[in-house]
Amino acid sequence: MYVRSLTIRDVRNLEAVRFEPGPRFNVFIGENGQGKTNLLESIYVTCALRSFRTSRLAEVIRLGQPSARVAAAIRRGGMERELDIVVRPRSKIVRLDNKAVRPLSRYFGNFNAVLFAPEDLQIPRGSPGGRRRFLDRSVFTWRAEYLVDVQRYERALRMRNALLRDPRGSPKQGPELLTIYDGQLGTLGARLLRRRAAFLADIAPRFRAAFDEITRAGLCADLRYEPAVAGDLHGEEPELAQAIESALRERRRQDWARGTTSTGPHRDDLTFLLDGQPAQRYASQGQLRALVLAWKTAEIELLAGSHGEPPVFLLDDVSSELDAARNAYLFDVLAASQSQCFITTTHPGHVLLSADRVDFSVRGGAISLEDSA
Amino acid sequence: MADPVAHLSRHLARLPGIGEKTATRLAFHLVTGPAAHARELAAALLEAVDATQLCSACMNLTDTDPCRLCADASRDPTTLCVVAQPSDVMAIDRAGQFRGRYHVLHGLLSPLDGVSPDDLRIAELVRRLEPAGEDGERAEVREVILATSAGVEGETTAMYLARLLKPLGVAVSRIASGIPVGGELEYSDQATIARALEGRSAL
Repeated sequence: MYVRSLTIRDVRNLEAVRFEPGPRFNVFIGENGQGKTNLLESIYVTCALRSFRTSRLAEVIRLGQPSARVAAAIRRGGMERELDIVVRPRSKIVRLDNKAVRPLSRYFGNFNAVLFAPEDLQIPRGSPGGRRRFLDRSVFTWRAEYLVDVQRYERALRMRNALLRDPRGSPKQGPELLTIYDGQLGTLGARLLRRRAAFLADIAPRFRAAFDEITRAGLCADLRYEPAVAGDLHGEEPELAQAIESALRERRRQDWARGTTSTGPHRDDLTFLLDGQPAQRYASQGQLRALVLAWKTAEIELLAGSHGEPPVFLLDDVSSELDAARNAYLFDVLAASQSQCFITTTHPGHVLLSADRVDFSVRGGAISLEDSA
Repeated sequence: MADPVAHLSRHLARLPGIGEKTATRLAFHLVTGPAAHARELAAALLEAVDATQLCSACMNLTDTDPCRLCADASRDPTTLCVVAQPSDVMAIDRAGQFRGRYHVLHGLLSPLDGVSPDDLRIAELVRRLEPAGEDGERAEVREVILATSAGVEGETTAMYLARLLKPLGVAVSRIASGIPVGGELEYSDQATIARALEGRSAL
C-alpha cells in the first residue's frame, strides 16, 4: 500500500501542505523545528486516529485555528481509498471515501503505518508505561481491532478508578459495583493479554534473527512478557479472565486505600533479554539500540507477511542516533522491503539510499520538492 | 447581527447537536419566516415543557399520569423493558415487537461522570417488583428485560440491575447484541462479530 497524495491543513505548524509522495522513498530534509515530525504525525493520525506524541489529539490543531485536517489518497491492492480526518477541540470527523465512518472501529485496518522515532531507542531502559505503549502500538498495527479492545479496557479501568476515588462511594453500593468492574476488566483484560501474547509469539523468531544479523556477536536476544497477574497467556480466555478478576478482588482493600487499580494488564511489562539477562540492566547503549532496531525490522517483515502488502514506514530522524554500521543495516532492510517510506533528517548524508527516492525540503511549515541539482 | 437574533441563536446553540453555525441559520430562518410559524413553535414549546412530567410508574416523559403506555390495558403487565432514556422507549416501541411495559432509568451508571445508582430511577424500578404492593399491578411482573447499550456503561448498568433484581424472584434477561439485520458480516467490526458469536443461539 502507499500514500498517493496527502493534504494537510493546520496541523501544528503545517498551515497548508499538499503533495504527491513517490511510491518508495520520500526524504524530508530540514532543520529542527521546521515541521518534519509534524508531517509524520499527520500520516500516523490517518492510520491510527491517534497521535504518537500526545494522548489529546486536539493538541495537533494549529494555534488559533478551529480545526485541523489530514486527507490522504491510499492505494492498496489496485484500489484507491480516500481517508479524511478533521480534528476539532472536542471531536473528530472521520470520512472514508467521502462517507462518515460509524462506528469508528470500522475505519481501522485500511491503512497501516509503522513508526520508528528516536524516542523508541530508549524503550528497553525506559518506563514500563512507555514499553506498554510501544508494544500496544505494534499490536495495533498488526491487528487493527486491538485498539477497540484497548479502548474498552481503558474505559472500564477509568470507571473502576473513579469509583475507588468517589467520596460518596457508600459501603453498600461500592463493593457491588466494584465486583462488576472486576468482572469486566477480567473479560476485557484477558482479550488484551491473548492478543499481546499472540503478537509476541509471532514477532519473537524474527526479532531474534534480526538481532543476530545486526550484531553478529553470538549474543542471543529475546523477549519476555511479564504479566502482573500470573496465568497461562496461551491458555483459555475465560480462565485468564477469572485469574484477573480474582487478583483484582484480592487487591480490593489496598485499591480502596490508594484510589487506583493496582493490578491487571495495564501494569504488565515487556523485558528485552540478552543471553537470558534483562537488557535494561546489563546491555550497553549500542546493544539497546540494536534491540529496538531488531524489533522494528521484525515488525516490517511480520506485517509484509500478514497484510499481503507491506505497511508504510515512517522513520523520524533515527539515523543520527545509530552508528554507521547499524544505519547501513537499517537502510538495507528498507531497500529490501517493498514499503513506501517517509524519512525525515537534518543530515541528507545519513540517508543511504540512491534509487527510487524523492527529496523534499521542509522550511517553516512548508514542504517543497528539493532541486535535484 | 441584530441583538434579539443573536440572543435567540445563543439559546439555540445550547441544544445538543446544534453548533453555532446551525444555531445562527435556525435563528434567521425563524425570524425571517412567517411570524405565525414562530408563534406556533413558541406555543408548542411552552406547552410541551409545562405539560410534561414523569410517569409515576415507568418514569417516562408524559403529559398524563400514568402515561399512555402504562395505562394501555392491552399491554402485557408481566414483562418490563428497562431502558436508559425516554428516546429508547420510542425506538423500541416503534419496532412493534415488544408489547409489555417500560421503565426508564434516566441515565447509565458511570462513576467517571459521577453517576451512581442513587442518581438513576432504580429505587422506583425495585418498588414495581416488590411482591407486597398497595395496588394490584405490582406483583404481576415476571420478567425484566435489560435493554441498555453494549458499551461499558450499558453493560455495567445491566449487570448491576441483574444482581439486584434476581433475588426478587423475577426472570432477568438482556437484549442480544451483534450484527444488525440487513448488515453485512464482512462490514461488521471485529468487536461486534465477537459479541454476536458469544451470544449465538442454537437452531
